Amino acid sequence: MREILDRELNQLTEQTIRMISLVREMTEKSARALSEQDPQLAQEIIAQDAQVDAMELEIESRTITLIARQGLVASDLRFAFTIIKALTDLERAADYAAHVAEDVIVLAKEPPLKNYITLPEIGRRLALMLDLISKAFAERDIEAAKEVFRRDDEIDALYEEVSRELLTYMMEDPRTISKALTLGRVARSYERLGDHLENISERIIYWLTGKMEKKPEDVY
Amino acid sequence: MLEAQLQSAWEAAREGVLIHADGRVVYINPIAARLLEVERDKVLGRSLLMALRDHKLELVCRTGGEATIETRSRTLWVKAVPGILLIWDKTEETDRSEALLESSRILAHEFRTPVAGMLSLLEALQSGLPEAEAQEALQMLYQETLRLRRLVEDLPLDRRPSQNRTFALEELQSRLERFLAPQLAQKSAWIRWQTPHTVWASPDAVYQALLNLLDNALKYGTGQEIVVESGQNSQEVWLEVRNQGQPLQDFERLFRAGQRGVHAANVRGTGLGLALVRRLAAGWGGTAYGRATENGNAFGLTFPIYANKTSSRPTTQAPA
Repeated sequence: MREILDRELNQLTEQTIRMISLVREMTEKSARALSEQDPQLAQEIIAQDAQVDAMELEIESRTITLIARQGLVASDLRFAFTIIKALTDLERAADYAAHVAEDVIVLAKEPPLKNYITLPEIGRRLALMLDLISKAFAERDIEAAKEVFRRDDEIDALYEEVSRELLTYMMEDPRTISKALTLGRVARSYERLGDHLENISERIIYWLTGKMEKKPEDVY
Repeated sequence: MLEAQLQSAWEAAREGVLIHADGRVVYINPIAARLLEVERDKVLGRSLLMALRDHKLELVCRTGGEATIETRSRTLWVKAVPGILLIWDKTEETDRSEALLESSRILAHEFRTPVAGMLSLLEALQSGLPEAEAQEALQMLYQETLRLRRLVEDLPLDRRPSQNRTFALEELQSRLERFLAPQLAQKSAWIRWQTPHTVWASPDAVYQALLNLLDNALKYGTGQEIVVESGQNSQEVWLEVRNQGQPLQDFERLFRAGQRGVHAANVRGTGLGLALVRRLAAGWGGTAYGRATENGNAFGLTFPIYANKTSSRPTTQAPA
């Protein structure tokens, strides 16, 4: 009986890891599309968003069935709820990667405001955070999950830096406002994407320890 | 016996190998574990996806064939045959080709500024200059061509002896001023020189660095006067190009390749000029820096003082 349950739980983990990997690919591609101003690559990301949506529905349905059929308790139940909650955050993270792709298509129509260095760097760092989440899931690695918290602080700092820089552009030259606003939207999408990854890490830690850990600034 | 030897060989191999059966990992060598960032004992016997943690790698394993895949901030080239995944780390190779691309961008930048100046001189010659001015323009074109030839010869770095020598900074003044004359006239700008020091460096390198700094001052400065001033403190001689304009903040960022200032949005450029200036300064053992002044910005170069190599006339206090 336990063997069957373990097999089903492992299958759920595998499906979730595939979904994390797909979101990672979208995020990494969004950084590349932005840096290379590549609308074709951006289109690929938008198409992949539908795949993520389908995966979310399938894994969610499977998890609910498992809870209902096996009467999960303790850490198994926490794991099932971790998956359910992580699915929502992953789906939103993929949406934000697709939003970046949509903005790349707009930006690529005109000469760039500047060489885009920091924004793609944020995208690449988010992809690495997704690697850590994948590791945390696969190897039940609490430290990898905690590392995501620290990386999200870096993302927030870079977001602030980009926002300040864009504001300066707009104040200096009103002709840059339209492009700067689009770039600001990209930065905001990445910042929100990072927040969703942090949520997933909190849930992983809850699954593995039974305690809900939040960053001090997130506790109100 | 052979199996044990093969396993020893794979343990010491420089390529990664992962062997799987029925969707589970049965062997992973140390290199593969390092490249995939997994602990061997944690993935042995577990499902393949737990080790790969990447849907594209999983697909290659399932379907066979070769692929280049970005994962764990590495570029991996993988080849899959039934039951076996071979992994090569191509990160360094990719980084090297990117570095090569960066070098070609720098090279293009290094040539663009002098070639633009030469073009202005040629256009002036074409439009018909009085004999004396035409001779002067030809002389300058000749000097620039020689300088560009030296630049090309310097490209295989480390193969040529140092071109450093002691020279007076004033030597560069008239050449630079004449070369930039069309741009200065276009902006109704002028340069005020206060450079009484001598330094130990390659005159061509200092000329190129100053040309870049003056070109920037002309592009981004708002006032008409550009000041070039040198000074000395106990450790070094410094040389600054100052222009009026909105004081900048993060100067270090500007010295990184590909970065441009907030005022550069509508000016043609690559964001490589200051990175290049810093590289040139490093070549003579000095540094390049930027700082905000009361009503503008200053970009400077420093030159180390070597005993018996540099004599200077200290007339100016070095900036703090």
